[in-house]
Amino acid sequence: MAAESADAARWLTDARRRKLADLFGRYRSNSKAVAGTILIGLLIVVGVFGPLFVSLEQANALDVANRFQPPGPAHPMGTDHLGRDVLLRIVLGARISLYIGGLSVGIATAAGVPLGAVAGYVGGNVDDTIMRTMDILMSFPPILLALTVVAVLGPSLTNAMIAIGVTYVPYFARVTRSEVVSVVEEDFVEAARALGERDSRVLFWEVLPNAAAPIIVQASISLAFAILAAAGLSFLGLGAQPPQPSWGLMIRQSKQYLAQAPWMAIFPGLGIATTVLGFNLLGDGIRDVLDPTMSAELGAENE
Amino acid sequence: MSNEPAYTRRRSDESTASAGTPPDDRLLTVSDLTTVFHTEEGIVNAVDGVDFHLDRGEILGLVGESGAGKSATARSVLRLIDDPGEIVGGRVDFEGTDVRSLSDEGLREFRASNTGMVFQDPTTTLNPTMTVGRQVAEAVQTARGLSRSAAKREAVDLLDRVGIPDAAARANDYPHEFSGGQKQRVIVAIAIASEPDLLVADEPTTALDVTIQAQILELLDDLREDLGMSILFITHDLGVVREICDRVAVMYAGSVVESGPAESLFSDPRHPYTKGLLASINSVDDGTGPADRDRLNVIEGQMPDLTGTTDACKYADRCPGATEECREAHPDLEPVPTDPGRSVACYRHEHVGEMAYEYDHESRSLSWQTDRADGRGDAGDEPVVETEGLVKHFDTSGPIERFLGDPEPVRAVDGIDIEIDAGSTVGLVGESGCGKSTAARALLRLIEPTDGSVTYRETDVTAAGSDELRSLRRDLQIVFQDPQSSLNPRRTVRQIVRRPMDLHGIGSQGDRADRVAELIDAVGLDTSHLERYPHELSGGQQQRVGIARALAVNPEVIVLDEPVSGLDVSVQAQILNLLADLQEELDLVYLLISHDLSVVEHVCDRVAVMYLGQIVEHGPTEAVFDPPYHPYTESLLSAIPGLEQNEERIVLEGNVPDPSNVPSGCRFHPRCPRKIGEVCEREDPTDHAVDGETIGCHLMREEYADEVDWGSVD
Repeated sequence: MAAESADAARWLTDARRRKLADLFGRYRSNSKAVAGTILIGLLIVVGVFGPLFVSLEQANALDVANRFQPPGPAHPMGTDHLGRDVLLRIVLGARISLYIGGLSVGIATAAGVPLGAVAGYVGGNVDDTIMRTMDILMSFPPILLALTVVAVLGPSLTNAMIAIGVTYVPYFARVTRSEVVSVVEEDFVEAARALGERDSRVLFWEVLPNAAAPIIVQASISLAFAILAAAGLSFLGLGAQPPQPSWGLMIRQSKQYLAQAPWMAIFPGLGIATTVLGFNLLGDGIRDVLDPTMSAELGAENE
Repeated sequence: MSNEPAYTRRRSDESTASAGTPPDDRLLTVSDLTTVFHTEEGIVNAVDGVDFHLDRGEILGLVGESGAGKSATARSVLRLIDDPGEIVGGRVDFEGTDVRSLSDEGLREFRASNTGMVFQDPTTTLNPTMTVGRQVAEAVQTARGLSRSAAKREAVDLLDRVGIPDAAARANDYPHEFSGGQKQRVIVAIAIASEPDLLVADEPTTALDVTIQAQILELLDDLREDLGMSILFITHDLGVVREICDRVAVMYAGSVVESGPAESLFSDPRHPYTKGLLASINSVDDGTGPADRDRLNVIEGQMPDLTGTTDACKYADRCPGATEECREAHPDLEPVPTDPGRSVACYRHEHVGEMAYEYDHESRSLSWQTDRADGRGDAGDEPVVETEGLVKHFDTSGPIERFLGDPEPVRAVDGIDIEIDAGSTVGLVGESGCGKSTAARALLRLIEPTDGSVTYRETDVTAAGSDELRSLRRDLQIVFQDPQSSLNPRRTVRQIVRRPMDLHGIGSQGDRADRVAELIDAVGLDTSHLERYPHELSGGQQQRVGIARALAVNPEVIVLDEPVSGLDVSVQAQILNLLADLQEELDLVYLLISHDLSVVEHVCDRVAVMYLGQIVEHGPTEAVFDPPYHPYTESLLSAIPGLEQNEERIVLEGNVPDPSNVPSGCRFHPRCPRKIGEVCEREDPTDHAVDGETIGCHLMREEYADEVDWGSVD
């Protein structure tokens, strides 16, 4: 018996290893996914390890004598209108960007996926009620909706993230619903019901894992848009508040000095562009890797 | 009418059987054709040195199980092989032209004017955004360079020719306005637009009902006569081959293993694989069937992997007569000296008579079944499952229709009574759309019945509360048609089989692990399959897992929803035997839903024939089928392809009507070949007891009894 179970354990890893190796093989041969991963990897390294070397005090240290210094040996990305080092602020801004993206997409996923899943699984009036509400939310331009939410909650970085999260809920609900509607048609869902599984278990154990691929893609691409939107809100003064080293806020502050100190806008702008590009590439790449016909292969690890 | 093609077929059999066919009659000669596919696992030899030829006006059947390389062969002939596939060798000679050496321009010309193709799925072949008239006209224009208006007129003629009623008006309709059979007719019209010499038909009737299949086969045979074209007919269905083909080439694992005239090949198979396939199908007329009526003779195992090269006869592993000689190299297809026109690729074909397929009857008991004390298997007087007036209507209308008036619901199931006795199998048959699957789901309460009741051993299933229903699920289980769809792709076989026991708290943790192993063994798999994912298994293995899952809760009743219709012939036989074994050992009760009457006849004790939500005839299998009394049953049986006695085939016109708008009186009257008259349109037939069965037809009424020509029925 012991030998048998040891045997079983070995087989288990074999089956999963095959599956993962297969997935990894397709991932590696997808240049978009690899490029996206490198860009995002870079951002994560900077975001996680940067603050170990740079403190907020350093980044916010005023040095009015050296304001508007162009990029040079002392300040590789120049200094801003208060003489603060742009490079240090960019490094700290990376973490804020990740935080913004992660939290707002987290909120959108946490609310949108269950709503869409329930709508798609239950159908009928529940479906209509949920999805029409989502349609109403969606009919507002995202930035306008975010502005409204921030206006109600008050301007701060956290509130901006909540606002962006709320505006993305309908997108996740839609993607989830359409996928759930098609997975529910599969016979294994009916088999689970025929065995007497509870609906909640059928939905979250049988249906949702098979609907995960497009949701992951949606999340990856939404991260890019969330970071852009947060930068936009910060630019309008409704997101990060001074002296936070947020990229969007940095661009806002550069506005008046664009002619005399363009580096104040260029480097945070490059930061945002790289991040958005990275997440978009990664999202596209993941979609190709998790091609619908191969979606059965995904996710042995999430059990 | 239907006699004529049979006659000409026999005549052409003789002409091809006689040696020395005039060479100018030869249309297509394929020799040593080899096509490979480059995959990550290596080179797959999909078509491995295939030889065959096709004469003018001849129908050649390319027959084999899935993965045998039939479609790849046909596509190679038309050079329709795309990357990662590649035609690497051989010659395709079409009227003296080597198709493989044609330029791109020449190839386009060849495809446009000399060939036509008909595919399996009529729904995806047509463009849904264009009227069918335009699609046919486009094909006419490309092939013959006619003007737009001339092409349009020609398109209407073509639609008329393929049997679309009121073609001029219907030409302006879009594909979704046609039924499946009519769509396939439209595709045939497109394929013959160029009056091709060669029509390639790739499983053209597989997606269709048996009654519609008979219509399409008749159409193809007529067109062959009228246009003198040759048809390369690809199918897995030996009955269809027997019905329509002059000659047959049997393919196995990328090679032709046997070819020859259809009649002689079927009556006297020379290759053990052909012999095995024929033994696996259980024809309705099979009087000389296996001694044990409940089991089929099967070919064990499955087709070998086509990756890499083989150094043995590809069939050796499954062959009951393989010797050392067979393990040295794959044999060439060679003419049989004693039998002109026949070729076979087998070293030991002279000994094929001695090779016998047997079915090893295994014991499939489950250890924990012995301590049951619920009287399962006791014949008793009461049926185990009983439905009374079961009704399921679907309300498809939206709030606006509801507001405007009382809309007609879709009457999927309209009052059916079924009784199933202990240890027996009841078959529910009918065309697709007749409501048989809905009835089964309503019986299991997977969908809520609109009306009527279901009783399982004195428990009212329809009235059960949610907790009671959950425990009833342990007794009532289901096995699905599509084994791939019925298993969650994210779970291993072990998780799938174990979950029902965890759910219902059956046994201790350790017991469950043992039971999983025992279950997987009982369905003919072994423990190494437990850690696989469903996509790593073949269709037959997946279906076995589906059966193991159903058995895990130790049910008494299993609904089998077309359990073998998605599987290959040899695998079908394996699964049917498995189900029969399990029924015997575990005293199971089956409700078998099927459109395949030969399967139903083989397996079922009693049969209920369903039409448009109602049961029109039910009774013991022999009584219902032999002879069939109800005109619908008679038509269904008559439509089965490949039966010798079908001298006077009844080809049912049209399709099952829309269940939201059912005909008045007898629901079958618009299609009934034996309609008496007005009474059929006016009155709902009552059930009549005849010879131990029950029939709902006006023909059974006393005053009409003399209308029936009993001679033709008996």
